[in-house]
Formats: sequence, C-alpha cells, structure tokens
Amino acid sequence: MSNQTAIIIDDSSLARMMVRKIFATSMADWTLLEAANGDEALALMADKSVDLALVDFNMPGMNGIDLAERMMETAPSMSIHLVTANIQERMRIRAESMGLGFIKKPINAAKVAEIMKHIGH
Amino acid sequence: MFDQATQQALLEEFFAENREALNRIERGLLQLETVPSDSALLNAVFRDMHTVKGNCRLMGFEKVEELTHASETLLEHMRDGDCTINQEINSALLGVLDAVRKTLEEIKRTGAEGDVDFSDHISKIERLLMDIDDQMASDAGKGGFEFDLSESDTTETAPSTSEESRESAAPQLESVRLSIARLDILMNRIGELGATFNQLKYLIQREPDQLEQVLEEHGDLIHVLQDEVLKYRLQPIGMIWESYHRLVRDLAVETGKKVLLDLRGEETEVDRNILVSIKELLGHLIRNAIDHGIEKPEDRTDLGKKPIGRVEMTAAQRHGQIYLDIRDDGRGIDGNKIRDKAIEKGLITSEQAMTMNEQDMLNLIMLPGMTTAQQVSRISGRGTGMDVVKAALDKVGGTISITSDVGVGSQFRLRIPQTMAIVPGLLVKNAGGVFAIPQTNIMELISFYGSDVKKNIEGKMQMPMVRLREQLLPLIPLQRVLARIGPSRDIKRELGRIEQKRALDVVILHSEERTFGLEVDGILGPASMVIKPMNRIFSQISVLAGSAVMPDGSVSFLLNVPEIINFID
Repeated sequence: MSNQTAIIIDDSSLARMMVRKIFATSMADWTLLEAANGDEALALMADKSVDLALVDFNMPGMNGIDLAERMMETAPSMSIHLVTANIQERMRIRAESMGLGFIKKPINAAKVAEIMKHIGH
Repeated sequence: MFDQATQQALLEEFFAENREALNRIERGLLQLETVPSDSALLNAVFRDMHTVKGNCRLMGFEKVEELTHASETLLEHMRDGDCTINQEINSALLGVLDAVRKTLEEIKRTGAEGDVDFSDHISKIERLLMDIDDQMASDAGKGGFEFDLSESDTTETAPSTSEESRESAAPQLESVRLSIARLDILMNRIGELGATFNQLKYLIQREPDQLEQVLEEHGDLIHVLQDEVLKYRLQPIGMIWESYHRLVRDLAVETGKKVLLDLRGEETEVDRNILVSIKELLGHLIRNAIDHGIEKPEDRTDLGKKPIGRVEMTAAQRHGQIYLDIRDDGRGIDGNKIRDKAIEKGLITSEQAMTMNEQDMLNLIMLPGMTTAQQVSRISGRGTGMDVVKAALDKVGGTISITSDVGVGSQFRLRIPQTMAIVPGLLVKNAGGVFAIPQTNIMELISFYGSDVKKNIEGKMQMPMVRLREQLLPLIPLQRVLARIGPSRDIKRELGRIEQKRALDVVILHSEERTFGLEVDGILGPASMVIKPMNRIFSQISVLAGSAVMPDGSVSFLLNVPEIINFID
C-alpha cells in the first residue's frame, strides 16, 4: 500500500493545504506533491511516477482539462480527477470523454476517501 | 474532521491567501478604470475573486461565499465582453471588497461570520446583472424580426437522409434572425426594383428603343437582391457542432476509449440548407472515426501512441467552397483489406482489383454494400454506411477524398459548395449540349485556329498535352468525360483527331492544386445560374454538380471540376 504518490494542482494555497491535511490525517502512507499551476505540475512529474492527480479546473495558464491531457500523455495509467465548483456542460462532456473523474468543490476527506475506494486503495 | 492545530493552520492560510487576493483585486479594479480593455488584468481579477469564493466554500463561510459568488458572476460577464467596467460596477465591487475584509476580521476574532447581512451588496449586484441581461437581450433582438427563409421545396433541396435527420436538425437553422437594418436594405432594393419596373412599363409604350438599358439595370438589381438574400442564408457551421461534443462523450463512455474532439473554424459560414444536410453525415464520420479508428487506451499505449485518441474537424472557406477535414489518429484504413472484402462481397472482380492503386482501394468503402465495421455496433451501426455519406454529399454537389496511413490515422476531406444557389459560370458547347463551368475553377480561355492547333498540341506521358506559354498541361476532352470513358490509350489516334480540328477551344481549369485544359466544342459566354441539385436519377453521375434552367427554357448541367481531375490519374 505504501509508495503511492498523489499530486494536487490548485492555484489556491488554502486548497492545497486542505488536501495536504487530508492526506496527512487519513492517507499518511501516500506521498503528496503540490503544484500551483500546470507548468509546475508537469515539471514536478517529469521524474516521478504519480498514481492520482487532483486537478483544479480554473487556474492561471493552462486550465485543468488541458493539463489533464498533457499528464495523460506522460502517465497514461494515472487516475485524474478534476476539482470544480461549477463547470460548463461542454467542459464536463469533454472531460468525461477523456475519462477524467470529477470532484465537486469543496474538496473534503469524505470525497477523497470515495475516490480511493474507486481506484482500489 | 481535523484536530484544532490543523484547523488553526488552515484558517491562517485562509486569511493570508484571501488578504493577498483581495488586495490584488482592489489594485486590478482601480487599474481597469483607466484601461477597461485589459483582458489579462480582468481575467486575473476574475480568478482572484474565484479563489476567494472557493476558499470561503472550503472553510464553510457561506455568506461570504454567496457574496463573492455574485461578484464573480459579474466579473465573468465583464470578462466575456457582455459589459465593460464603469464607475457603478466598480463602486459595487469595491464595496464588496470592504465588506469581505470586514467579515474576515470578524471571523478572525470570533471564528464565525456572525450575523452579517450582505443583502444590500447582493441586490446591487443583481440589479447590475439584470441591466446586463436587458442590454444583451436588446442587442440580440434590436427590434429583431423572425424571417423565415425556409423554402416550400425544402424536402427536395435539403437532401436529408431520413425523417429523423430532419428532426435532429438544430431548430435554430429553421429560422434566421434579421436586424431591422438589414431588412431596410432589402426594402430599399425592392424600392429600386419598383422604380425600374415603372420605368420599363413607361418605356414599353413610349420609347421602346431605350428598353434595353433599363432592362439591364433591372437585371443587375435582381442580382444584387439575390446576393443580399443569399448572404442571410449563410450560418456559421459552429451552430451544428455543439452536439458533436455530446456524441463523442457518449461514444467514449460506451466504447471505453478516451477521445479528445478538436473543432476548428466554427465561424465558417455555410448555406443553412447545406448545414441541415451535412449535420448528420459529419456526425457519422465522427462516429466512424471513434468506432473504427481510435483504439482502446491500453492498445494505444502498447503501440506507443498517446492514450487519448484525437478526432479533429476543421472547416475553412476558399473560393466559395467549404473544406471540411475530419482527421483521427487511430488505426487507419488498410486498403488491401478493403479491396479483399470488396472482392469477397462480389462488388468488384479480381481483375478490376489488379489495377487498383491505394486511393482506388480506399474509395471502395463508399460502395453500397460495403460495411467496414467488423461487427455492427449499437452506435455506428445505424444502417448507414459510407455510401450514404457519399450520396448525401453528391446531392449538395460536394466531394469526398480519403487518405489513410495504417497505424497512424485517417483523414476524410470534404469539399462542399458554400451555397448551392447561385454560381457564376461559363457556358460551353459540347456535342450539341450546353454545359456550365464554375467561374472559380477557370484560369483562362484559349483558342487555336488552323495550323496553330497542331503546333500547340503534343503527346506526353501517354496523354495529349496543350501548350500554355512555357507550360504543357494535360488536355482532357469533355466528350470523353461526359461519356464516362477514361482517357484514350491510343495516343497517336487521339492526337490525330485533335490536329484535324480547324479550331480548338480549351478552358484552362484549376482545382485541388491541379491545372489542366478541358477541350470543348465551343465557348458561349458567361452566365449567372441558379443551380439546383441534380435529380436523383442522375445523382450517381459525379462529374455533374447540378442543373440550371437556361433563358430559352432548356436545361444545362454544371460540371463538377474536381471530379474531372480523376481523368488525369
């Protein structure tokens, strides 16, 4: 079970902290990477294997869907979830057709636990 | 959920990040007052407001969340260009900042929002939003007028393949919104027509010798009016694209594939009748691309491809023609397999297959009776194959060409006329019949007489060629095109036939990056023709794109130049 790595990409430092705390409390065996935008995330992931990504949709630079597309190219088996408050129907459809998961904001421990159940951890 | 120390740490981060964001929003709003068009700045302000809202939601401060959400909505309208910043908007937003800051202080002191009341702020924003809505509504319909341009004979001109496709045609295609200003232009044209009509009535009785000039003027006005109305029939192709996102999503979910749909050129304008008739067939091509082209993510990874398949559709307009490319990066189409299947199904003989090149083999998938699907899946197997796509295209005077790289992907290139109504053309004579050639394809006209005929004709690469200045161009006899027989194999006899002519009339044509000469029996002159799609009986004759009624009541046919090129190959 150990040696699993997740990444949170969100331009809000509070949102990143929240996820960090959730992982520290209930998924202590996971390594958590943090990035404030897409470029940072791609740089971080360049030499690491990541199993789970939680991606904010609305970020400066590339948006969450564009980032997810880039991440899938480098790590096809990674489970990617878009974290969004309100998303245009068209974006949601586009994300679904790419096989992305969804977490409705605000993120909390119960929602992360739900994803963990789905990806078999 | 968390222990107290963690909760405290989160709160501190909450205050710190919000303070910075609120400061940036304030600076941004003030700057925007002087440079309202700075879209990057506006976007940054919007995103900071979004962050503050998200943070409040994260920590469960609902009242501030509601207030910042309303502000975000207002900023979103500004970002989308629905309104520009003005003092009233800015005052409201700056007021929000103060209120949020004050409440954050309260939270810092007491740990809760307390009984703050933001209803004044929120109703102010709601009023502003209502103003924007009103403004947008009146912009959209400024004395708007529903002008129905659908024709009584739509069933014939819009070759929808079934009742179903007619129903699924976007309802907005059934009517056109027209501004009063544009209607006024039409009214003015009709007024001018009325004036020349009265003049004509007068001249017929009093001064018949001046009739011709006014008649010509009258004709010109009709053309101008026609052009004007045709313009209103053009609609951006993006109108029919919206539904493809959903189609792709459903297919991806059903097949367990991952697909990215990329649509480009949605502003390209096409006649609405054509839009109605191609909506279904484009959907079919996208379905095919996903169903038969794109591989499953794990297979793609094994092949060293990106796990997400890509389906790209681009639209562009050139010279009155719309070019639509549907490209996928899937497994491609194996021409040899298609050929074998066609033989197996008895659609072609092994002898015919022997002489086929890659292109011919790919074209076989458009034969009726060829279904490339290994099994008819629920989604793509709707009883329509590529033959239906081809037939629907033929009816609007379009063509399709297929290129494919096995393992790399396929590309379907469609060419359709932007409008099927009026085509400026050149009338030519051939074996007693009159044919029209679209002006857009014509580069120049040349005629040789007497001994010049022989001097300018040469045989090369088993084909008669005509000299155009320094260049030798393939010469195709219209006669053979119409008779649907290929180029003559007996080059000597063919050259002899041409050299015997006392006059040789050639129309130099250009299409699909090829230039060639078309040998005709005579050149008659230019004409603007209202083109009707080909009657069903003739629809399989691909070198004819449509028909037009001539002034004397006879019917002439419009030549489909891209199809004539096939004679060279």
